[in-house]
Amino acid sequence: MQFTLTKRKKISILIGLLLFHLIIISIQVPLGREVGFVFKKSIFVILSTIQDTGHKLYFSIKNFWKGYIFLRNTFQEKEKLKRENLSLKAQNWLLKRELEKIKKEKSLAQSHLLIAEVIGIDSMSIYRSLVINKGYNHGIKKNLPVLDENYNLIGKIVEPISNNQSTVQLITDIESGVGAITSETKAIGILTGNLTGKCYFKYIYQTQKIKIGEEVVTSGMDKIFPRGIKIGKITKIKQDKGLFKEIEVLPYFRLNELESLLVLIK
Amino acid sequence: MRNIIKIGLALIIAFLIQTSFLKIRLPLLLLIDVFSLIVIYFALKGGEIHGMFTGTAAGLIQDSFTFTIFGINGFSKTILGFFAGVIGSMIEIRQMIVLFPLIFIGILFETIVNFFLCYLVGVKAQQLNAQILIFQPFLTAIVGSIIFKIIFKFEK
Repeated sequence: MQFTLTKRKKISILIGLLLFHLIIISIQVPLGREVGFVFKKSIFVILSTIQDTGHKLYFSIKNFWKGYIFLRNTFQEKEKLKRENLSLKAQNWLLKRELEKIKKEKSLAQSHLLIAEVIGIDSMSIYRSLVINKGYNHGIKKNLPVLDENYNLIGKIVEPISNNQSTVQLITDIESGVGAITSETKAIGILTGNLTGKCYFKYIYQTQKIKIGEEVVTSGMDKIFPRGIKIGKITKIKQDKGLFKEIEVLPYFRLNELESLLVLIK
Repeated sequence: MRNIIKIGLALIIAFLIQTSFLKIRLPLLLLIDVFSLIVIYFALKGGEIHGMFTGTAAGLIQDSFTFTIFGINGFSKTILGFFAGVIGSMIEIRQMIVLFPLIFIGILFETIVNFFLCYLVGVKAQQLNAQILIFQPFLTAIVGSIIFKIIFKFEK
């Protein structure tokens, strides 16, 4: 009898927990993901702080080992110069862009690049999102473009964002969408990911001329990413009976080489 | 109380391993589902109740660090925790020959529940392929059964 009661109690708890999840999920489906956000953000704020601390700890141990045991001051100097170099390169890139833009329009004139470090990856798929060590306190807000050290597009800032950490949705995520244009044939479409490290360039008519190896850049039409940021190269074009071509794009950014990245603050 | 602290610490460690950027440099680690291993371990040790609550907590943590609807992993991992607890109370789980298929089937089942739920709510998920259906549960089961065996040995 006791066993039966315990068993019933366990099943009731299971049903209760499953209902709790189903209610959270079902609220988010018609009303948007923001509804489940209070829970998500609370967990994000606590755990991303732990993640950031872990990241700092790991690097301080690594740097201590490299800096003191092996090379003493040389390593710190190199790191400092590396950061300065990146910052100067970023400024240079922006100045060049501004110069180009001033001739046409002034969209990037008031932008600057913020250097951030990757502290974590997505818990489900590496091609979905990243966590970086910059947040509201550093001027981060939703939808800011994120670039790699060579100014290739990586993605954009999405919620959850905390004071010192934020999430970057990668262009390789299946739910991402970037307004894009080919550099030579000027075909305009939308770039979306497929969670395998590659992207698809969508809504290009069968009649539109386009070639393999052509560069794809942002079109600026989505009002999120400024025009002209490099994304990747076309690697495959499939023509079938449908209205649109199936075009595969290999992004320029390399996930395994990412350490620092740049957030374009408007 | 001690159990809660143990579960909490285990989940933080699992989280740090699961979302560590270092995993990208060690691609084989990407195939190991650390959260599921924690859920199965506590379900086997403490029964269905431990399994379910660990599953809920692990799933919600995972949901907070991925770009999907909050609660999907919580749901599938709660079921995983419950069934691992039920099976753990029925059979002797200290043998490798039992641990491996238990973890393999458990993670496979969880993956299918997860995909089914994503499909139902219209969330775009990674397509089911051999890597997700076979390699991930297989590798996690190998690593998990070895780790569990070592832990059980120490606990004796």
